Amino acid sequence: MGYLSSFAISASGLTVEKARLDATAVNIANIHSTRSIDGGPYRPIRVISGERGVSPFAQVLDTQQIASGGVQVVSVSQLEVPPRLVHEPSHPDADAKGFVHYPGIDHASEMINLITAMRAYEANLVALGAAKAMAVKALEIGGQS
Amino acid sequence: MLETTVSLVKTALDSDIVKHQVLAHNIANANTTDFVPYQLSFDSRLGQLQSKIKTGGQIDHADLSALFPRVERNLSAQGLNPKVALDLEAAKLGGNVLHYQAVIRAYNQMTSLLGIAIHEGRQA
Repeated sequence: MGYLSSFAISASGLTVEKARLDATAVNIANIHSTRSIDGGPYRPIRVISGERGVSPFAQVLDTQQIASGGVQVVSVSQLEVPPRLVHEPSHPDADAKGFVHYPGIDHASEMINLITAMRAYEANLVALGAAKAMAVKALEIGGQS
Repeated sequence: MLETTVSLVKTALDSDIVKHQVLAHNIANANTTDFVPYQLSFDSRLGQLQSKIKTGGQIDHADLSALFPRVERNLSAQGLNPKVALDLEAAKLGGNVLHYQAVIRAYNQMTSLLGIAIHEGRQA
């Protein structure tokens, strides 16, 4: 039974949580972006994650082979949120009525996402550390106790 | 006797690694929507094996397969609260590492006992 898959599972978790942190950072950085690539105000993004190797995971473990479990980024989706309207007639991006369409980014939910992703990242690190501790201990098999 | 212990140790270490992989997989999917955590379960033969050990019966290789856990979805969590409990998983992870270390220590003590027998009771 190898350790490499244990490390790979935790590493995939770290990658996905880092992507989540990146998404939150991009959302907060663009909180005042009135112009996006596809026109209109910036729309906040969310990382959608999914299980890696869903169906084979249990079978693979049953046959005591290398597990291909973990998590992966399935997609990065733009949220359909109404823009935040601010009355600024002198703004270059103001509409006919003098309203500027700012991105409808919710501070509170972004911060909650940030903290959740951070905690999940830490939990993955703990799992990685545990795998490392087991691997180090395995080197002592047959040594003097 | 020695062979049984060696295969028992091997089974215990392997099942600890599987348990670790299951826990790591659950933790990695902590923020995955609609994820149903995995859990390990032992089949009913484990109880028979335990009573066999208590009555002093010999354990053969067929019995050892009962010690290897099966991986399945934690269906009891489905519907109610399918979220992964990070604290619970981390606690199980810690216990698993300790168990792994304990098995290795016990095995090393057994081999050092064997060393004493080889050297006829004298210090090696």
